[in-house]
Amino acid sequence: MQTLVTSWRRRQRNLLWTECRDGYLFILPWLLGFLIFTVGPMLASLYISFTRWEIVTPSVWVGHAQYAKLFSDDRFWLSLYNTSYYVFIGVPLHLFMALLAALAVNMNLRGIHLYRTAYYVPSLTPVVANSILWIWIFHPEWGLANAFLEWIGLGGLYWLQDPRLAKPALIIMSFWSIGGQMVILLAGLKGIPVTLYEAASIDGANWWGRFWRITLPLLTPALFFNLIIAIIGAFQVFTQAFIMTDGGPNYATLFYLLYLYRSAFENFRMGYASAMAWVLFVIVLVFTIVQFRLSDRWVFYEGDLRQ
Amino acid sequence: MTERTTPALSRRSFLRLSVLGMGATALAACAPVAAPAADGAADAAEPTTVSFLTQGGGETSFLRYEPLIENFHAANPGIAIEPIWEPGGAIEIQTKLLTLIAAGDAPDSYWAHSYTNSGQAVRNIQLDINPFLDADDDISGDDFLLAAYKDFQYGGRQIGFPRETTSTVLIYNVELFDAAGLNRPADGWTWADFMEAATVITSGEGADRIYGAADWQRNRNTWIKIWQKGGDVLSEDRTTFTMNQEPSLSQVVEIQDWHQDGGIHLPATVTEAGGFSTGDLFTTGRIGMFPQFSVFSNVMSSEFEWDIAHLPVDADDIQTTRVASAGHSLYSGTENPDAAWQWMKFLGSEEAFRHWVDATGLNVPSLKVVAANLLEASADVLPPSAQIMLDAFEYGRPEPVAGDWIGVHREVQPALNSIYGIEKADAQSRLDAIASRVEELAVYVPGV
Repeated sequence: MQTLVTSWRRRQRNLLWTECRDGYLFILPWLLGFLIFTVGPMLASLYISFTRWEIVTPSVWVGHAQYAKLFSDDRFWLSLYNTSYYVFIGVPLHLFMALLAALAVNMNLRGIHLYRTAYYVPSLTPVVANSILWIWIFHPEWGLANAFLEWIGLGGLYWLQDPRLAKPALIIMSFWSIGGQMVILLAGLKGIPVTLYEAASIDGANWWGRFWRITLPLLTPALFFNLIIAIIGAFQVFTQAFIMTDGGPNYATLFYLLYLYRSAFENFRMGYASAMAWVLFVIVLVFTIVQFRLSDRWVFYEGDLRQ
Repeated sequence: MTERTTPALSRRSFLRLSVLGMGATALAACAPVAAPAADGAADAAEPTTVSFLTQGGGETSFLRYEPLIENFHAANPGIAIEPIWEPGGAIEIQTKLLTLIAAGDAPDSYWAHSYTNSGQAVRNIQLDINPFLDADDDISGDDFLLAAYKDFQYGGRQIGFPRETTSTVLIYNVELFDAAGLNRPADGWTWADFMEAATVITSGEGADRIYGAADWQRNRNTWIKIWQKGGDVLSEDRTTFTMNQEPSLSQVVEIQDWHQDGGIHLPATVTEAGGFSTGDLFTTGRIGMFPQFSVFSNVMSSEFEWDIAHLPVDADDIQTTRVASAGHSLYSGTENPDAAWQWMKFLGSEEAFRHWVDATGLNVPSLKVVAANLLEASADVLPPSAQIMLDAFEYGRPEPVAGDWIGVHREVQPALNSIYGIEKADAQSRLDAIASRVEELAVYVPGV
């Protein structure tokens, strides 16, 4: 009996091992790509961040000097502030707008597919094209934004030329591409069982009650996913500032990655730029971990039993 | 029923080998590229390949170089030119150059611009071609326009040849001048004349307003006015920022005055906003005059008479203007310096310059012999007083490039935007605020 059990266990182990090996072999192409093109450069950049290296000069080990210089560089703090502003004000507004759009296109109206397409298509256009379009929209003399303000009796604004308005302007511009998040939220809305709404209606719940007690809680997984992705993406904002404002006016849109890019490819400071990259990596990592930890408090999955 | 045998490769061994393999792969990805063979000896039957990084992505770029590459190869069968096309301007080419160097695949030769030259020169990226020039009787620095040639000098080294060059001149709307009964800008035109003309031309309100002047908010144009008065961006030894001192400061303040509400100058915010360039606005008749380097493609569509003039100059001023150039450099680490020099020399030849002028046109060819008959060869695309842009090379000068010059631009322009733009920042304090950073960039010594 003992021999039979041992033999059965060995067969199980061998089967498991064979499956494991086959599995690893199947994912090997991706794994190799990940190691060569992601992990390798990451490790290299970590090493470079402890050196002074300007590509054409030999790298010199400087320990944590690049990090020390980073923290005493007012331009670094300014770029971090600009980026944080974009993340912590822009992302919630962006998600809110995406949620509004998802709720709107979730209605049963004739031609609703056209509306969904109309909201989604801008998110497919490249950021470069969007940026050029919005340069025109925000133009102080001939732009649509000021034409609208003047039409409703308000004066025009220097959207991209006023340091106080440049970041809000780029946040407003980001609403243009809410389509991606909208589709995910729409899928989340479609996944909420109609029976819950019917039961709530029978119990006398109004629209707000149904939204607050049913829609929003059951949408939190989709909101959480969007939040994580949006925050990671917003920390990496670059193209808009690169094309539309060149980091101005008066450094108001000097975002973190733009400063990193300039440090590396205009000023040749690869060690400094690598240190910046790792600081950003840690910041994003910490925020992501914190969000996951906090998600237990506000993200509800179907079947969750909570008070 | 046969029992399965134990696999030859155990799970532990497989995982160990996998981890080792992955680690080795990851490290291999970070490993520095092997140094090239020192002797560079190649099979005699194989032509030496000289790689050439240059602007690409447009028909003009291909027209500029592809026929030359073929002609060069026909004349030099032992050398094959391998172009690397990169869309974009000076910064994009530099980014590509650095990436290729980092990858151990640096080009032997590349298109270069005076804007990026100094940052590369302080790091010895360009090969000093003086030894080649000294040893070669076929080509000489005297063949080139002096100001353009100087644009490719740094610390006593010749870091390349200029291909085309520009001098900043004043473009003006002849019809607006004539309609206002103003004398057209001519020799002896002073800043008082400039102000009078700009004031008379400035008229109208809102979107229909016509501005007497434009584009002085750009650092490169502000600098010309500063140079005229004996000031500069940096001290003579290029270690101290001097825009926040006299006589430079008062020139910045004067240009700021032009930008006041109701002033003679197109608000900096309009062109800064993008979408419309100063040239676009000029072609619609909304600008009386503005300084621009001698590239006229952006105003060619004007349906009114326009011309160019020397910049105004007062009696005690230094007559000067800004000269900027694009050209070609060799990479200091090239494995094929002799072959690369032959290509470089060909790009500095009359044949190459004549081809460029015929095929795509050049702003101003920096080779004297070709520049001399530019007015005749390109009469259809040049303004009536085009000779002025050539004369300007006699007194023009390059920017006082030093250290990381792009970084200096990056510091000065935002400060000027704050001074001239809607912030109307105090010039002294705003320029004081960037002084130490500019100096750090200007005196930057790499690797220290």
